[in-house]
Amino acid sequence: MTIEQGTDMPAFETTGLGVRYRRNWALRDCSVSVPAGRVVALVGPNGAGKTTLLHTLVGLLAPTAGTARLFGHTVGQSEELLARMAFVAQDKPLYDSFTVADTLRFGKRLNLSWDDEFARRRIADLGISLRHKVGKLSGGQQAQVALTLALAKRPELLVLDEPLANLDPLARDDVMRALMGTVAETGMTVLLSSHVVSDLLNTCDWLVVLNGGRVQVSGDLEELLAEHRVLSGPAELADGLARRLQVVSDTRSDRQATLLAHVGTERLTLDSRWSERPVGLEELVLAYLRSPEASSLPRPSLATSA
Amino acid sequence: MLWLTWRQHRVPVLVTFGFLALLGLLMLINGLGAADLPRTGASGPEMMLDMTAQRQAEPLRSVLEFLILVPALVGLFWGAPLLGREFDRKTQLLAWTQSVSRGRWLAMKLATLGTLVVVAGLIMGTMTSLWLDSYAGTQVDTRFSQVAPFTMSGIAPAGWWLFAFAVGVASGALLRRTMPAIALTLAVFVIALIGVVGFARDYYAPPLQDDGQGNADTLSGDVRSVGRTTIAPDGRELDAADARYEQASVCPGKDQSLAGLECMKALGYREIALYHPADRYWRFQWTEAGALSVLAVGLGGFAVRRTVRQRP
Repeated sequence: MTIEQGTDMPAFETTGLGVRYRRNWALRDCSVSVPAGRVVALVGPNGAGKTTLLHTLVGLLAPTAGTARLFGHTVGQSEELLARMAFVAQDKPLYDSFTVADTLRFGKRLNLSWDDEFARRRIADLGISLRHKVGKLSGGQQAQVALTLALAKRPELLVLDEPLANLDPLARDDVMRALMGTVAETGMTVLLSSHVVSDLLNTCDWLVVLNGGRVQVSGDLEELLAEHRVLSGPAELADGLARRLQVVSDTRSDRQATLLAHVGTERLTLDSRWSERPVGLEELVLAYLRSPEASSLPRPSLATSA
Repeated sequence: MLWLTWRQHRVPVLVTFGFLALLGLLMLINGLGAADLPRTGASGPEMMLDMTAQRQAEPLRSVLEFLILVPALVGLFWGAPLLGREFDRKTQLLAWTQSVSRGRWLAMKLATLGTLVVVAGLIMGTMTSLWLDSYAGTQVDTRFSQVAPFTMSGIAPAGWWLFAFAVGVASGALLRRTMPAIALTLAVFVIALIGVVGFARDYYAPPLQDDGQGNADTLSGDVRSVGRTTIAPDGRELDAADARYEQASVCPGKDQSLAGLECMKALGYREIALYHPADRYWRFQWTEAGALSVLAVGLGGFAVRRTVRQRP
């Protein structure tokens, strides 16, 4: 059940991270560690603290408790660390009065590493004129300009806050495809948040579920799906089974019980009256969100718990 | 950063320098017209000279009264939107996640725009001083004694412009919205202007006393009058209200009239005028510009601190 990490430095890592706005804790005791090279989906309901977590990772927000690290360095406002990551905030803010050319120039002037040729080619491929004002572009085009700005920085970690919100299905597809193309080329780590799980189905290979300011799930997507099972059987046997397993959700009718459980990597030996089936991603996420006390987290490594 | 600062703030910068150019042109034309005016010391009744000078200066002299509010516009259009507009559009999230730390981002913007503001203020002050120079020796040149000429000439405008700019930036850092920041900037600027003009300015140095006994040399020209005080025979200093009250008791029935003053004088009361001589002009200019600059630097420091520490 534990994801064994190699000797590679995690792309990002938080330990006991907490962020408080006045009296409310937006994040509490969050500990996650994600290996480099992954495409990470950060999911959770509205208000779960997704944006807070992302802002903390990119250094916009200082944690109230705990630490956040990128590539082994404590996150802060150091320019060296800023240069290694790129961030596209929610609603993809850009300077409306700038032309597209100005926006690229902005990226060039404010970044140490900037691939101007890539940026210009990408804008040209998208059929966007450099002379247009950013404010006059369509939502999809603005999203592409914002993404170009982030990608041309050649980051090792790309952080995107709700990149697909407010986009029509075609633009969503375009953005996602562009993103995945670059990821395949460069091998950068991508962290993107969404409150719509289905957005991320085909693109991500690591899942982090955030709920009520706490991390509930963090793990390799395939392994998570392999380690969870939906079990259906007679209600009178359910209590006995539930004691043996880590049950995430437990739905019972008079006779029938349906358990979504974390079964781990071992083969289950079950009474023949039980039937077993694999779990879907959306089903898994919803089950965890509905039972906030359940969690599936890798055992903290010595380095992170020290 | 220099390019970004220019790209984001070029409109108010160009408008400001355009305005200065226009004002300079008007002052030049008006000042040249004053070249032929007869001066004090030339022949002819002095009263007549001053009437001519004032008639010539009038159009700009009345504009000058309003121009003491110009720094407020610098606070509103250069200062308040500097951070306020970023917060309005959430573009700070974009700007602060490039490879320039937000502390440096703000510091460089403040340094660049602050320098431009000071230069603009100095241009304003120099132009006004030169314009007043063209009226030297007439009663138009009251750059020390009167509110608008003092505020607009010399180096005081640089202090006021920088101060207003810093108030705008700090308001934006505090309120994180342009419109409320504009309102706060205006309020703080007006309060500061009233405070300085109405109260502080008279006390940049202890005033001299004119008791009518032989310091006429410092009393000539553009003298800044502070007020009057009455010295009682036992040496107490009385302000106007106290003096009137005392007069009622020591010279009953003679109030409000010349007889009252005569009576007081006879009893040994002395009335004294408080004033600053004309040669204190530069001392006062430096004091005002210095104090405002110190305040501006403090406000700028506050804005940087708040930007670096605060959540986005």
